[in-house]
Amino acid sequence: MNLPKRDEILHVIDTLVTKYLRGKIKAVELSVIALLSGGHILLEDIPGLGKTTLALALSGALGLSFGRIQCTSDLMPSDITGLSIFNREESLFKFIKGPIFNNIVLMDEINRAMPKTQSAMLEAMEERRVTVEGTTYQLPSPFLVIATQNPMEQVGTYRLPESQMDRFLIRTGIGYPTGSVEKAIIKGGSIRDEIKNMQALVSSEDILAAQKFVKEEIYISDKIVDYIFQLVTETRKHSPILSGISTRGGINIADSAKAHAFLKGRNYVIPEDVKAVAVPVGAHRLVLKMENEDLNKEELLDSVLKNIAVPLV
Amino acid sequence: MVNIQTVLNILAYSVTLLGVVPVFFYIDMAPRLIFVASLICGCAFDLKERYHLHGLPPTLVSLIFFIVYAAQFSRENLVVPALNILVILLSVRLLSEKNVRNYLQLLALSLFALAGSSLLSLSMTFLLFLFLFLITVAIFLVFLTFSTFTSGQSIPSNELKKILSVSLLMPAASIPLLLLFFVILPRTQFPLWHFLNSRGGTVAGFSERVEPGAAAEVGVRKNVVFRVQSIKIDYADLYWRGIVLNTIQGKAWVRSQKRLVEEVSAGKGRVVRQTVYPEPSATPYLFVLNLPQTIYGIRVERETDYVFRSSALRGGRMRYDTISVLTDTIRGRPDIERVFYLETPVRLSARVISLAADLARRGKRDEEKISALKDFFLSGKYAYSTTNLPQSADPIDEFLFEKKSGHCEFFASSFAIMLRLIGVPSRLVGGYRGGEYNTIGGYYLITEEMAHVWVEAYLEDIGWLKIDPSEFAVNRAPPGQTPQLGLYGKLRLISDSFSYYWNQTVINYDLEKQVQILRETNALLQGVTLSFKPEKLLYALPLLIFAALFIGAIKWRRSSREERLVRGFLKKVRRKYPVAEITPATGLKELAEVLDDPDVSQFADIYCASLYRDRRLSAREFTLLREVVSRL
Repeated sequence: MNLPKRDEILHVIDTLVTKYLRGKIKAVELSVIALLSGGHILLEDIPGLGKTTLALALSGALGLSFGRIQCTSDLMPSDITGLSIFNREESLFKFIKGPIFNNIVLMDEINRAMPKTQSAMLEAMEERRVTVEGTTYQLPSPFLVIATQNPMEQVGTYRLPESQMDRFLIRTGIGYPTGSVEKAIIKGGSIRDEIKNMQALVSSEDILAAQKFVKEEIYISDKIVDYIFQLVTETRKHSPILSGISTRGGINIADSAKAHAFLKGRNYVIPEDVKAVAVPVGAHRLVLKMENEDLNKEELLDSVLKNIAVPLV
Repeated sequence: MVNIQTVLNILAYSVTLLGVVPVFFYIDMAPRLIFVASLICGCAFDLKERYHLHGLPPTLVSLIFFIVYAAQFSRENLVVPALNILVILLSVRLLSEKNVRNYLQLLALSLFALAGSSLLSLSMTFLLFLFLFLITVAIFLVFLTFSTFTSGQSIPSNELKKILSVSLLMPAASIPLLLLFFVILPRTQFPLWHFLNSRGGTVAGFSERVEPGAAAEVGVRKNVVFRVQSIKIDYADLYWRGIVLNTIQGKAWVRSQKRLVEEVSAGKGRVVRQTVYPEPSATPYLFVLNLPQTIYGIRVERETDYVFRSSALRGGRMRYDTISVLTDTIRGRPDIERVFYLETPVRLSARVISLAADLARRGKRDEEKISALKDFFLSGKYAYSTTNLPQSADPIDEFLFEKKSGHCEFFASSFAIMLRLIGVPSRLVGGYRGGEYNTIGGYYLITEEMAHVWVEAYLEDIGWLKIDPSEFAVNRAPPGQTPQLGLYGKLRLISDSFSYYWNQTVINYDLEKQVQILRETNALLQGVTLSFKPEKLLYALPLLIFAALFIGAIKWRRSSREERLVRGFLKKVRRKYPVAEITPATGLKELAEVLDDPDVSQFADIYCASLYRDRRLSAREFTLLREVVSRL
């Protein structure tokens, strides 16, 4: 089956996972899926597990520009978008672009930024453009935001509201690597320097072509749509859940299932694609009832998924 | 692609035919011819899509016919003129251009015609026509609606199928309702109008008056008169007694208004129980196997010459149970009114009188005289015939001495008159002779052509003795022989059994009776101790197997070949990997990955590639997958 640019992208994943990001195959794959389906990813884990390294390595391997925003409670929206500065020689204001004008933007500890900044950021993510002082600037393409947040820290943080969580295509953790891998990582030490000197493995044109293919050429049958719809409605009916997966959530599941099918070398979606992406794409959109707040959303969605029959005819 | 207009036209013609065919043979010749002609012309017009008839002329024609037939309306004759008008209107509509309004008019007129047919006949074919009509109308209406809402001239054939199946759903859904109405709705037990209309119709067959020589020919009618549930009886005993004609009025034998009271009892013979199901008729006389003893299940008026009358019979279709004794004699005391039974016609030819005197001289006792008369008939070589009948002023004379051929009325009345002339009291018995035994339903079918008249003669020490003079005919079929049935005869037999059961279960259906049966069954069941007999199950077994096979076949037919393929595949996989957890939520590729079986993987690859791309499996893929499944 001829899937353009698939080999190149698989090569990126391979290289990243074997050389730079050992033990992070799931996170890398999901990041690539987010990139291919034009969404954004939220990495939720404790510090020091390689969230930033992941973002850096990804941008390095993909040959894309990289911008980083370290969120703090006094971060202003203009710190992200950029601002106009008066140029004396030309006697006019000149717009200086902020870090968001990059292909890959890492937003570290997004829950530390105050809501005003958060919403400005999320709006930019959704619209893919920034309006400053009446002028609209288009953000570069491809555009991927990798946001991180530490779920443990509670003091001085502003939790992302559910409505904003919905804007992230994927939420995933990284998790501790397995024992042997971790030992090897400890032995090898930090690889930040190597990452700085990484050679780009694909061009941004390749990525755009792959994105286009995923969007337009991967076939999604009505049976799969039914399956996704069933999943979405089941989450809405499930008793511990207050509000289930939204329609945008359904669209996102379908889009990322397409990207997953592309990575698996198929030009059509099968239920397994949906199953593979449903939890990372859907779980963070669930709002649980008050009395069930300590339930694990991933496990909950997984149990819903296990009760839906795949279409076999 | 199918042209909507063509489909609509075909449906419209079907509806029209379904409405008109049941009444076709009841209506007049003119509407019949007009209908056939306009059916042909209408088809031709539709094919050419040019309609030559519109505007005033057709309206005028239908108006003229309307006036003609409306003039025929009367209380007795209501349905047929109405049907004539309906058919004429239908014919005019068939000729005109087909638009929605005309289609609906066709439909309504056909429905009225079909409904009208139920007033004329209650045969099972009405149900058949009604069913077909309902189904066709449902399809027709759906199509008509469809055609008004689509702009296109034609539709793809797969959509046609869809529409067809949707429209068939409606009549199918109405079947439970139909059953409900069957139980609760009251019904008429005979075709009301037709029954009333035919009262003055031609009489050929049984009549309450025997007048030989009234017609040159007797037509043969195969109408069913009654059916008798019975064991098989010897042909020689198959005399169905109806009426006794005891007096002569001019040339005719009739039943006297005088009530004769005789003390009688039946001779010795076998006792036979029967159930009679008469068809609706105008006669009040009940037909029972000779010699009837008792009738129950109906209120009857019994007379001493074993004639039973019932006014209830006119009320509709019903049944009565009878007990008869197979005997030829009615024992009685010798105090009968001899004078009454010896009355002879006023006008008798000299030849007849001299013959009687001659015969009377041959014996002293009545028995001897009778045997002399029998000998005369036997030696006279009289032939049984229904054509070229004696028809002069004195038909008895003509029959005895000239034509020497006639039907049972000639034989019986001349024999009875001769008996009276030689001093033996006699009378005629009218009824039916023989019967076609239906082995399927276990009943006798008696048709109008079996109508018969025979004689009873009074002998001092015996009583009334049955004599059938028609037996003396030279060409009389030897008794006890039933002709072999051809294919047509067998078919007729089968169709009549259907009609028999139809009458019994549907037309004669009576809620009270059903409730009664239920009650009786309930009472019976209460007294029954449950004793399990395994051999009884043996009878039920084939039935159960058949039902299971039938349900299985339906299910099998319903599931697509893909469904069957996957089902077979999963079954095989489960058998091969009993530990593997296969739930409905397990995808095929997932399964292949878990099991790591090349066959499973191959199946999953090929099957998923077709299924999730919404592409049907090619024949090659299908056989390949079948092979994979069988390999597992």
